[in-house]
Order: sequence, then structure tokens, then C-alpha cells
Amino acid sequence: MKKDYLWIGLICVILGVILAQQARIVQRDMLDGLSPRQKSGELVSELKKVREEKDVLLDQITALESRLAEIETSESKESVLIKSLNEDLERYKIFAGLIDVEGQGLVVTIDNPPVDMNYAYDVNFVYDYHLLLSLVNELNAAGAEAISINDQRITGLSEIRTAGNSININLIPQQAPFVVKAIGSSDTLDGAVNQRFGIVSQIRDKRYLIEVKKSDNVKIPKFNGIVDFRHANVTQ
Amino acid sequence: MHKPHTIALIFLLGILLPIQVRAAQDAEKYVSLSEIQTYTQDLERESAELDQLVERVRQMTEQINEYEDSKAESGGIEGAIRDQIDEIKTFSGLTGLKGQGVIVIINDGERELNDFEDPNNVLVHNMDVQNLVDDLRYAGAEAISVNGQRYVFGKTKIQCTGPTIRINNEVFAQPFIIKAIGDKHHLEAAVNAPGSFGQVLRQYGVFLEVYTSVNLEVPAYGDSIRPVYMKTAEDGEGR
Repeated sequence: MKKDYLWIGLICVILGVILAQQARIVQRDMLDGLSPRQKSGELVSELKKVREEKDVLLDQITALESRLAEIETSESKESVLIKSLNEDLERYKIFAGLIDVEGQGLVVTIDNPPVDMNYAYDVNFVYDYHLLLSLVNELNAAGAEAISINDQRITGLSEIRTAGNSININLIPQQAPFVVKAIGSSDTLDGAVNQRFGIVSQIRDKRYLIEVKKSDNVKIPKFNGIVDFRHANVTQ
Repeated sequence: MHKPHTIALIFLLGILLPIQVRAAQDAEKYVSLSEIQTYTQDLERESAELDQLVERVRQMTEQINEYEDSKAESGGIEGAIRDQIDEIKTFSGLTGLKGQGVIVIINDGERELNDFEDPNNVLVHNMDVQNLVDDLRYAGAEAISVNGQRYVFGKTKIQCTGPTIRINNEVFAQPFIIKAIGDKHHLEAAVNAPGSFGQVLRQYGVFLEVYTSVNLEVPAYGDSIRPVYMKTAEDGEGR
């Protein structure tokens, strides 16, 4: 009887040591030596700072945009040549994805399924980036004129690729849910992705939640910035 | 008999209860690790977006300076607008480009099939070309063409049309020649590296060769750029 208590006592000590070790490892590796409260407080304040900086920049961009538009319109009034050049500029900007656009189209939302205890592994769409890539390809094949994912405009050089625990799009790490917007004939786009054994059913087969909605007015934001070419030079 | 125990337990309960209430009142509640992970990911995304916006402000300021310089020099902004048009055309794939890069040749495999093996294993499909092009783009390719057709992501479609592949509304049969301009060593590695899609194709027995080049040319995108369904958004959402 007394021996039993001794054993139980010993096991409790071992358990305690392991538990403490476990907590320390988590704290060291996940929290940089801070307590969860401190860490989350730090993150929240940093997040707030970054968001404030972003707001300031967005205001600045709006001001700069109106200034640019002012210069362009005032010059257009003076000369027909500038006016036609400006129209050209607009046309190329639309093609390049450097202007906000709207029109009829499709909104596809993809999200991770709720955690299911019957499955041993986590299902995370982040690791199935090729499905997102295929979706973009199918939308293109159905005549999409502009596509964005989580408000990142897809341009000629955009990447869609798993990097760490997110999918990078235009170098911005993105998490589920993914909202894919496309402008084009909404009936054709809807039919193309909803084809039997098509991309929507492929995504659904992997247990992801996907919703496809036709819309008369999809708004797609512009791409912020132009990539400077380092290796390529213009021929002619 | 049980009295001392009961009293002790009630005492304990009395201490624990206020602690519990206090913890619930406090704004700083217990934080789970997954919550911290969400914050970390949010922070990562927002900082990357911040970088993008900083770059945007820089470009717009530059643009305004260019307009003003041009105005001061020649009294008009014609030159500056033309420069901007050229820049945007280059960015969106509407000009021919040249520079260092790689040439990838991909063709149906020559090896003998195993018994009852699907011949599709050694044939080139549209998805094979698509995946190779995607791998090259991730590796920093600035311009890509397939069989002389400029590949613009988000515009070009690579479609299966039976024995052939349709690229930008023109039909091509094997072999497929992909040209990509960018850092030639990075691009070569993107096709040859273990775990890359090129390696997978080689294992199937598809013919795949990569050559680096110090100077190759990629043509301009030739299809219509006139949109039918989309128009400029009147009330921009501020970004």
C-alpha cells in the first residue's frame, strides 16, 4: 500500500518535469520567450501601428492620384494630342491592371472546412495552391478580363505559390478564406467553373468549402506598383 | 468525519471564485497559441501590403516629378505621358523584350512503354507546359514565350485541343519551346532542381532539355487587349 503511493508520487514528479519542459519549449519556440499574454499584446500593438501607417499611405496615395489626374486633365484641355495620349494611357493601364475596374462577373469564395476530429490531419487550402492556380486558368479560358484574389490584382507577372503557412500573391502572404473575383461574361464564367468534374467539384472533393456567386457588378482593385525589369530590355 | 475536508474545500472555492471573476473581468484574457498564430499571419500580410504601398507612393511621386520636369523643359507633358505609356506597355507584355535567360525544349518521350502502360505518360499535355511556365515565373522570369507566343499570366490560356495545344488562339503541336528572360542560373535551377516540375516530367520519360542563353528574344503579346465586359470603376475604393 505504501509502496503504491511512492510510485504514484514518483510518476507525478516525472509528469511535472515533462509538463514544465513542454511549456518551456512552446514558450521558447513559439513565443520568443514571452508569455502568451505579452506576446499577443505585442503583436496587437504592432498590428495597430502597421494599420495606421497603411491608412496614412492610402490617404497619401489618394492625394497623389488626384494631383496626377489634375495635371493630366488640365493638359488635356489645352491640347488634343495630350488628350488622345491620355486615352491611350488609360487603355494600356486597364490591360496592365493598373486601374480599378468593374463589370459583370463571378465571385468565388474558398474556405477551409471546420476542424473535423475524424480526420487525423489538418486540411488547409494553403497547401493546395495548384487548385487556386487551376481556378485562375479556368477563369481565363472562359474569357475573364480581370481577376483578383483577396483584392490582389492578378497581373502578367503575379505569382500564386505556397510559401510557409500562406499562399503568396504579388508577394503578399494570404490565408483562407480566398475570395477570387473575375470580370467577364458571368454566365460563361459560371458554367466553365461549374462544369462536371470541373475545378469547383475538384476543390469540393478535397472537402474545402467553395461558393460561386454570379454578380452584375464586380469591383476589382488595381495592382499597386509596377515591377521594374532587371534582365529584359525592349527590342526595336 | 468529513467536516474538515468540506470546510477546506469551501474555503478553496471561496478563493477560486473571485479569482475567476476577476480574470473574466480583465480585458486580457487567456490567449491561445492559434490566436497568436493568426495575429502573426495578419501582421505578416499587413506589413507586406505596407511595403507595396510605400513602393506605390514612390512611383507616383516620381511620376509627378516627371510631369513637372517635362513641363518646365518643353512646356507640356507629352513626353512624360509617352514615357509612361512605354513603361506600362513593357510591364504588361505589349513590347518585345530581349535579355539573358533560358530556352526549355519539351517533347514527347522516346522510351519504350511498359506492358499496358498508358501512352499519356510520355506525351506532353497542356498542364505540363502550364506548370513549367508557372515554375519559371516563380523563379523570377520577366518575360516568357511558348513557341513564339508571348505568355502573359492572367491573359494567355494554354488549352488542350486534342493532339495540339492552343496558346493565345493559335494551335501548336510538339515540340514546345519555352523561352524565358530572367537570371539564367535561377531559371535553369527552377527546371532542373529536385522536386521541381521538370524533374517530375523527366521521371515520366518526357523529353526535357534546358539551355541557358546570354541573349534571347521574346515577342510582344499580340491578341486583342480591348475589354468587353469591364470598364473603369467610377468611384475607386480608395486604392
